Amino acid sequence: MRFNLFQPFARFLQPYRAQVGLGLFLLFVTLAISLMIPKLMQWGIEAIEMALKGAATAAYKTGSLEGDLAFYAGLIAGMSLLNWLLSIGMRYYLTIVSRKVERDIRSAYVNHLLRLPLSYFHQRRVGDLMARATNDVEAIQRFLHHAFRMSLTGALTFVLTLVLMCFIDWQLAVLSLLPMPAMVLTTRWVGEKVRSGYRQVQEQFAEMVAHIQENLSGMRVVKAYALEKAEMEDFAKLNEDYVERNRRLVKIRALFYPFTFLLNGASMLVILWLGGLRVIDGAMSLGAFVAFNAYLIRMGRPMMLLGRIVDEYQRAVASMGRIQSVIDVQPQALGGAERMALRGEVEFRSASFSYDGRSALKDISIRVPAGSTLAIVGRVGSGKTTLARFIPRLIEAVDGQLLIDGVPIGQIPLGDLREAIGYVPQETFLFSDTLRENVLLGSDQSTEIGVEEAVEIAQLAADLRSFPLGLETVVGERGVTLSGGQKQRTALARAVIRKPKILILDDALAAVDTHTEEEILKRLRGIMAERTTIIIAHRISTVKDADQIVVLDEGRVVELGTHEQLQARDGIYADMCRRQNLSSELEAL
Amino acid sequence: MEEALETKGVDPKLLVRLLGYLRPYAGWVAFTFVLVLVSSAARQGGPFLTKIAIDDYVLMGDREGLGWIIGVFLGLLVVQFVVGYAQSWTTSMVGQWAMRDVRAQIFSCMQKLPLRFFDRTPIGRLMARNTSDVDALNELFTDGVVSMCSDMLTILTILAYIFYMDVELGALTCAVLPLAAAVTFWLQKKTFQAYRIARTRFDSFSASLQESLSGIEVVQLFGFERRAAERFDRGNDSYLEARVQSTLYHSIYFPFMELAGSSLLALVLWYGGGQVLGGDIQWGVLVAMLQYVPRFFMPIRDIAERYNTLQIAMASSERIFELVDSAPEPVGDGYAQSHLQGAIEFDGVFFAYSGEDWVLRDVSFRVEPGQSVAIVGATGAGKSTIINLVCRFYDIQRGTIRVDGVDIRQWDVQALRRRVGIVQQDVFLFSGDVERNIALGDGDMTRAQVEQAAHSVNADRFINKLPDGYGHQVGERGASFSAGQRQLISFARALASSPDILVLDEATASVDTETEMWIQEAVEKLMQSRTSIVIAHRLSTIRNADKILVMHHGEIREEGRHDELLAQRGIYHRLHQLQYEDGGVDGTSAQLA
Repeated sequence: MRFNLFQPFARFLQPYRAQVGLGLFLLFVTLAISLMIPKLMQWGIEAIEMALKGAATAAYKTGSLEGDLAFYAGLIAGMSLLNWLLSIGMRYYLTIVSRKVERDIRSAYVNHLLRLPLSYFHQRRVGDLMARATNDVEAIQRFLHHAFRMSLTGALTFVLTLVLMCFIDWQLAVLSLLPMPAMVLTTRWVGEKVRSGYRQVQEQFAEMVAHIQENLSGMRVVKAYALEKAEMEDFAKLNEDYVERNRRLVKIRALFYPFTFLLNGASMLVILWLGGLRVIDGAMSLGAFVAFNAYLIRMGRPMMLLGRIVDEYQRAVASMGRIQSVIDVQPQALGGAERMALRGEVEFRSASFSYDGRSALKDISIRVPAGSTLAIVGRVGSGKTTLARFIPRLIEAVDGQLLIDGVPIGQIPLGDLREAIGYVPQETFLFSDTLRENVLLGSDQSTEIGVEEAVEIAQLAADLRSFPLGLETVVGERGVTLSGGQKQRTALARAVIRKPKILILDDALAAVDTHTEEEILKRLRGIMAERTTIIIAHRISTVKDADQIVVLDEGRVVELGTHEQLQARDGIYADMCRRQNLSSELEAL
Repeated sequence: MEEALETKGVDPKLLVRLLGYLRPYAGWVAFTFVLVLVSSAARQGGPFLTKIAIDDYVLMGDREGLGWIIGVFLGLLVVQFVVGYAQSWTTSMVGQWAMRDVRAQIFSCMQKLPLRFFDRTPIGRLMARNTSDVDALNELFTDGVVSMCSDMLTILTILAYIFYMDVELGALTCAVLPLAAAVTFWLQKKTFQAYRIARTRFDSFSASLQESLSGIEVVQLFGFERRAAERFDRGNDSYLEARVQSTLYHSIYFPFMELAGSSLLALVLWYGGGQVLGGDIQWGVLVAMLQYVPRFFMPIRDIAERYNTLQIAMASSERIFELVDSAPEPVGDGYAQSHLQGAIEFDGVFFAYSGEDWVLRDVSFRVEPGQSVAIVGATGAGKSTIINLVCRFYDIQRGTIRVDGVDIRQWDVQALRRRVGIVQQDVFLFSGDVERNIALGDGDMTRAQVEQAAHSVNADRFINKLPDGYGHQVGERGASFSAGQRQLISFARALASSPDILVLDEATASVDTETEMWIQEAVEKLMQSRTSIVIAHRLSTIRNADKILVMHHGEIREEGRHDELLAQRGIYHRLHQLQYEDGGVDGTSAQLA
């Protein structure tokens, strides 16, 4: 165990030094006051002892036993009242700090997480990332909240009571330290076990959560294939395993409190015995004996709490580790600092990329002059989407270069780059928000074209009229369900509204019927006349007007040219045209 | 969006229902209570033994007797250790078992809910039921119930010891109880409301984070990170605010209980001291009292804290029960056949996803066994809805749907769905390998069958190229596959289940021409032997169909074979004309939507 419990969280505690300082100061004062109480008790009892022995009135502070008792009792009550008031401040400050740190850690985590490269999210499950923002952060808060009060109070109480006990009887005081070594050793041993046990429990919990998440996301498939029973069985296994891991943890943890209690009790017993003998021998007053015992109980409490603190500490450190591991991941490089206005020229220079050890793109070299159109065709898995994803740096070239306006893409400020790009992905993600917000998404209200115009271009306006709330209709998880085509057109409006210098349509109109697609393309041509367009499609009608058409196969450029050039070449593209013609010729019969 | 807030406190009915989860472990619970009883009697025996030690031995100067009582004390400690361990173990495990049952129940209830439910309930909210709400119950079961009883027992045991020693001191102690109770009551009222607000805010920001993470690609592409983070921070801040509120109350309350304890201590010293002098009580009684008083307030404080846990659990259990009690999807009247003939009939079907917002209006058609039907129409015309209804994903409001002449409501839902192979618009892949995604829960399916299915749709071409082939892990939602690849897997998946009815929903939309031809080939083969309903885009599919349904604004406007429809010169003809002109002039793919 580290000496400084707070070290792993130091960075987040830093801003609250003043509050922590004030809280700790109050804590120290309240502690000092509360430690006076056994002493007052001792004096009160000693006064009674004196009375029993028939002492003279002069021996009493106030002149009589009743007076003395009332005085000590009143003092206890008064100090307690003061203590209460100070404790309110102490607890308030320290708890608030733990809550603020919780907020800060969560915020730092989320702010960092959202900036990580996309590839990071492909390796992680959403449920797992969520657990870090919720459960893990809460574990840290719980520890800090308790640790401030308990560990610091504990340590201080321990030292102060020991000093006060030494004043009463130093030999007994030293004896009371007897269980310490055993306590420290068990704490260490149990701490180790609990930490690893807890980690296993947490991992299993994450598994379970991820399973539920996946099950819910895939509910349609679950229902369509009547997988309910199989899913329940899978879940039952995870659930059972979770209980088993908890059982292993409980086995160790359940030992801890009773054991510390036993050790503590045994040492108290020795003191009680020896102390009792001293009182019999007249070497110690009964009052001192009672006070000594009261201190001993107070000293025992932090020792007992040690277990809980260790437990929570282990959890908090494990949780902080999980959060830190995300914060330590390099965010995506932001590119150059100097703002750039892009024209939209895109050039791949022998760019290669591999995924999971498989080569996805090999040695791609294409130049797309600003304002021109590049169409990408090719069969399933040939790397079309991968190629398009280079441009907004959703992935980064492993070898070779990608230049925008002649500048290596890594040197362009990421924000400027993405602002200049309108990307419509194959699969549309809509947020649980109004259609308006979904279209605006991050762009200012004051963009060149309004939401209305954007939905008009995307041919969404007619659909909107059929919704009673129009643009204010809430969609996504919490709202109405849109058809695939409506979703794609919403995504298109989202891209168009930004009037991007580079528009990328990644098979973005697949769920839109041909007629609507034609309408959309016609309107797009109007606004995209001076903008670079990169379009992935399967329909020849969509791609044939492009300035350049590139045919990908197994991650390589196999053909590149205009519609006419490629037809003349009589390769894959020409073959594609023939096949698509075939069906229409059949039609003409 | 905050869920409705109301203060309910502890509802006895809810509590009884919650405790019902402990019923299977009643034996263990009873055993735990015995342990609790023994351990609190043993634990609180300490000061009493101190009293005996002081009065009977120390003050009498009996050294031997002191040794003897110390021995008894030691015995008591050992009992406490053993009982304490056993109690801690049983309490935790009973809690774990109960929680396992709660989780299993929630999970299986969710499996039985209708799709309509999932349409309007965000996954984030359901996840909160499964995580934070279950967690709250967890604390109740593993810590709350038993500890609360143990605390109450502790109070009673202490009172019993005190009354046994001296009735007047007992009465004095009892006198402080109402004050402590009143303050505790005040606190719980104040904090509970604050807690509920905090909880709702927590749920709300975690749901929004969940969404940002699910849509991270869009978030990053559109430079939405900063705003998403800001939105999150606002939620996070407002959560903090709610927490600060309740912190204030707690900060006043908990030290107050210490004040109450110290005040009682002063009272005992003042009053008891006089008694000792008068010989009314023994020395040891005073000493024991001074030890009991601080112990007395700790359990009261803990009960207050646990009452919070209980309330938190109440609020959570309310939400969990609401989920668990949601009307499950109807399972049908149990009619089942191992194979379907494949006759489907829609008879005057009206359907709306909500209210009277008809998506289908008076739809009637028949599909004979083995026939293939193509549905065409513009997006939003209601094509997908028909497919949803064939699988009984939704119940219709008016009319009847018959499968093999039997009302769909009489069919055992699962038996029906097992015989229908569906390829949906959005392909969902489960984590695990490719094989699992094709076999989908069918444990009897052999590798050869899986490979056969993949081969039929030509999906094997790319699967074989994967590093681990069929053992390749797809990752969450199949992120490493292209849309086309995912569709091929989804195809193989549908074929692998060798369905009697095949349902294809715009499934070929994002596959390139070559792949599409392969699929087309496979589909044609398949259609020969079974009933199929296809939401078609490709003219070839449509031409080969035995029947074409032309959907327009939720109605079937035209029905018939390709040439018949063309001859009608209606909507289909117009749609076709659009395609034809394109196709004729510049060789466009002939597609119809």
